[in-house]
Amino acid sequence: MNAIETKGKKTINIDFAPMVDLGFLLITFFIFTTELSKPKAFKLSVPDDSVIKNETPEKSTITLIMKENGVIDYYEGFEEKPLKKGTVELYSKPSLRDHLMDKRKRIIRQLGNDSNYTVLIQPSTLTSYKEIVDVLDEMQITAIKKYVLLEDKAAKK
Amino acid sequence: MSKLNKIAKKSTWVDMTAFVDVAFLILSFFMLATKFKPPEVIKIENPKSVSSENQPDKDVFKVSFDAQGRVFVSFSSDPEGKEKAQGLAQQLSKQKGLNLSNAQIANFVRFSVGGIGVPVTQLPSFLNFSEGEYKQFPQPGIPVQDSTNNQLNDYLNALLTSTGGRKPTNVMLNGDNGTKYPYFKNVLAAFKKNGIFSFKLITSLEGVPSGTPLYKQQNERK
Repeated sequence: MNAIETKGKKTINIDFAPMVDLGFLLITFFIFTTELSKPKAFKLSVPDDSVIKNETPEKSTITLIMKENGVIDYYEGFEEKPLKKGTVELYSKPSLRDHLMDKRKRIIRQLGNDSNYTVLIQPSTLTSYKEIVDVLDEMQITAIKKYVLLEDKAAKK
Repeated sequence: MSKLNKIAKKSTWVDMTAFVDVAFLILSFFMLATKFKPPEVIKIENPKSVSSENQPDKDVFKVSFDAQGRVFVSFSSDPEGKEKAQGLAQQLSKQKGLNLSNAQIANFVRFSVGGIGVPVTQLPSFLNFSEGEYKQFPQPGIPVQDSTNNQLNDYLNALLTSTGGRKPTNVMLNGDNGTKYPYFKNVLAAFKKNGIFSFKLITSLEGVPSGTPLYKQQNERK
């Protein structure tokens, strides 16, 4: 009887520390292998080169020539005979975004609506992919419906 | 003195049960929420955009280009993606006279999940690799540098021929921040040549700056 009594009174104390260690080891493993921020998709359509149409009204068109490191030369109208030209920056002031929004205001003042507001984007050989995507992104941000990614001039005949 | 003794004798036993509970709760969360990163042989840092559309993961044909301008093609690992990869390999083998064996084509399908970036002529020897060799091998990328030897064009042509002209559902472009425009342009040129004009660029999410037209639009919708 005595033996049984002592057995019954014995408290069961399991040391959980190794279990916690193991648990956190697994957590760390899953944290590192998981991808939390899922990549997003950005839609891009490019013009079919075989169909030539370059008929946008001069007054509501702006041509952007992308240089290096976010420097962009803009030509309101077409590059050949711009109505106004200057330089804007993608990542600092004077910013491309402000200019595009300002241009929209001027178009609305002149023409009454901005339905023909077109942006022609012309990257150069030094332009990086990031800048191109950022400029395309500006089109989304400033809600410009019509924009075209032009090809390099050298490639054009 | 007797008080001090008592404190010193107190055992430091901590009840770990609650701790274990929390640990395993977090563990099960991560186990359920996890989606393993697909194996990639190239490191690509995507640009950011305000686009919030989720990237599709079924039936994907992906063209990646890294900062050095190396171009890779890959397919998703679901049945449709595998079928397309197989079709591409068979067609490419036929068109270019590579005489790929069934084992080599099977390897193409297997490697195409991680990315394939070798010139067409190197394909037969490349497809003899084992999984380990594939991971070690520094792939030179599919040549796209000039319009006369734009081999991405060959890959795309083979893909379209194998599907009978049907364009792949999800064409993704996976570019690195530092890729220079000429490479991107040549990739686009190959797509244009094959009549594919609509893509999805893979980007990571960025907040919409406040006060901009898009921001106003989104707020109106809410």
